[in-house]
Amino acid sequence: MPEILIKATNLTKIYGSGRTAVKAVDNVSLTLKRGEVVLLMGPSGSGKTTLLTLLSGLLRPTSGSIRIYSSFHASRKFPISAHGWVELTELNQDELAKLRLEKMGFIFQHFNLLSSLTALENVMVPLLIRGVNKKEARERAKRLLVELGLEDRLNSKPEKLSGGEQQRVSIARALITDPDIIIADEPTANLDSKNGREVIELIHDRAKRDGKGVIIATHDPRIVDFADRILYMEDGVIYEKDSSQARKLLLFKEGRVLAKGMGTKVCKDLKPLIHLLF
Amino acid sequence: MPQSLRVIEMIARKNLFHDKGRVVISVGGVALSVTLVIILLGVYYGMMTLGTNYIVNTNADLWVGQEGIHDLWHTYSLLPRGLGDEIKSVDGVESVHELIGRAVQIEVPGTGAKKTVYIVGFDPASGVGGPWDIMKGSREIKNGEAIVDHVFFVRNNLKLGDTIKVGEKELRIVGVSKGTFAVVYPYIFVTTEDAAEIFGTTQYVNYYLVELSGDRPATEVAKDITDRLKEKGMAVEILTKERFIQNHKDVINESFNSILFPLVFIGFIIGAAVIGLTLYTMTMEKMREYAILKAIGAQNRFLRKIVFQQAVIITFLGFAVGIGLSLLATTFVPRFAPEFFVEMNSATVGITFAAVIGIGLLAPLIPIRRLNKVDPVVVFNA
Ligand SMILES: Nc1ncnc2c1ncn2[C@@H]1O[C@H](COP(=O)(O)OP(=O)(O)O)[C@@H](O)[C@H]1O
Ligand SMILES: [Mg+2]
Repeated sequence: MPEILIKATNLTKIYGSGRTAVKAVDNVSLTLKRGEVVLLMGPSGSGKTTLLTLLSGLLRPTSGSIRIYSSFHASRKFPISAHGWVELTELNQDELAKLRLEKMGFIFQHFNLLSSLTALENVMVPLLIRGVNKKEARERAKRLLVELGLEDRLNSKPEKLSGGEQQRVSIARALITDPDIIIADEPTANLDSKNGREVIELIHDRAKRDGKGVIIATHDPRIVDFADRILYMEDGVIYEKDSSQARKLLLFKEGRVLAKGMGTKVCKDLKPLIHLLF
Repeated sequence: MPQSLRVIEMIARKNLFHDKGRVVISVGGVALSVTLVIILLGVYYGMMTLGTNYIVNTNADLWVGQEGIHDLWHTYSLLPRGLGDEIKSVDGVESVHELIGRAVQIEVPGTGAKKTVYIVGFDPASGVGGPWDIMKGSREIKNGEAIVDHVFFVRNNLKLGDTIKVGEKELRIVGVSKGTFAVVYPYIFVTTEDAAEIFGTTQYVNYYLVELSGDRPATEVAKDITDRLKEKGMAVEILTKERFIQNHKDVINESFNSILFPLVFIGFIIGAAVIGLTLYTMTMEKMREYAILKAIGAQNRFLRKIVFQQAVIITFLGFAVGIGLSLLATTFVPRFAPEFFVEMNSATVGITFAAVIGIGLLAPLIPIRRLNKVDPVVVFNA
């Protein structure tokens, strides 16, 4: 099993053209390894979401290459080079969809559960799309939800679930197909600290236990403890720091940004954390 | 059902039934349009049946009338009495019966109201040209007696033994016949003698009803009769039973098609609009959910099938409920309005079903076009 799951090289994404052009991602190269949790941090508008949508094949880069490692069993579904790498930029829409279904799990800021389905059914969906039979899908989804502590919520619709519960259901949906790669965009932004921490812990533990590569875009400084690596992004450019340095830099920066935006209360809230780290 | 279809069915159904009010509106809308169409078509087929019932049920292979006849409603036929033997002598003729029949105003007992009815004089001995389905009372009539149509009987609150007045002639009701309300006129059956008296002539009849032995083709016999009577200086027109039935259908078609078919068309348009709008608004509302499915790896084809499946569900439910409503209408309405005959035959149901399927196939096209444009990137944002 290779260690590297994603290899992105010289990625650039420019929105629009001419005078209104925005370079959201600027010549970014990165790798994601198995069992690794990478945090993508940076202020709002720095290009984190754009980078994640490029890596998921939902958006085509203006230039650059994204290669995803694809094991042998999936090889008939999309063109794969001899070494097991799939070049994302060469796939069509349907092939990209198959690749996402096969290789990636997604966790979003807004949970994005299907409102008419129960928690259990939501988790079953990716399996069902993959053609797993309903009974087996139900069993597997149930087992996972029970593992995540949602045994009392199996048949609840999303509207009846708390934010933390919804996010755990969506984590279960991301994990159910046992994908190599987990892509999460601000997964804690809509949660209180306790729930945010639990959710990140959960993602982190799964990545470590099952050898998944996780990339989390966030500007939530509370979760830096769980990162193996932190990529700091600003104006579409990535600065990779050694992790302890990055933590300090980020906490300092984020603390300042938050303090500026929200006043001293936030600053006070952050104090113990900053204290702990420095 | 293949696995992928079951998933699609599940998501489609859950999505659809998530908003029960909308399901009720859309299924109800389709059901009403199906009912409207079935009833309209049913009225049309009902008119066809009623309008031709008398000819269908009269044992005459050929109708001999005055030259230029077309149907019993528009054209008037008058022939001298006593041509029966001449006609009978033609090879292939089994029997000949005189028929006197004409629309006339009569006076209803009790109220004294004037009603237009179709008086038929027939020969009670042979029964040819007489009623064929007696609901109540006697099948036999003598002079001074009448068998009246059921709708006429009910609508005018008549009882057996009541007397109706046609001009100066009084007729006692001895029987009630069914299926004899020919769209506009109820039939009243009397003896040939009474009919002659009512119409004030013993010299003329309106038609000769000819039964064939079956040895020769009807058209050949008809030609021979025409020729034979022509030699006698008599210009007649002879119509086969089928031709005569068709002529009546043509009259009904001419008078009603221009109203009926636009209405049927409108019914279908309503149905299509209801399904189309429901699917469209539902798809638009669930756009984000379609984007989610696409983001987590569903292909466009998968999303299209969901919308399509919803169309199928609405269409079939709407059709089923519509059929149910129509059955209720066809059973219960005649109890209150006996002249309202809605014929729900396989053609009506078949035409409606085919059209509903067509609607079900067309209605998802617009929302499906929108689906192809769903950008899954939106799920990353608020
Ligand atoms: N669809 C788009 N069209 C044009 N500009 C966009 C679009 N999406 C994002 N941007 C711009 O690209 C930059 C990066 O945005 P984004 O990737 O959402 O950053 P982040 O997730 O870090 O907040 C921002 O300046 C934003 O305004
Ligand atoms: Mg973002």
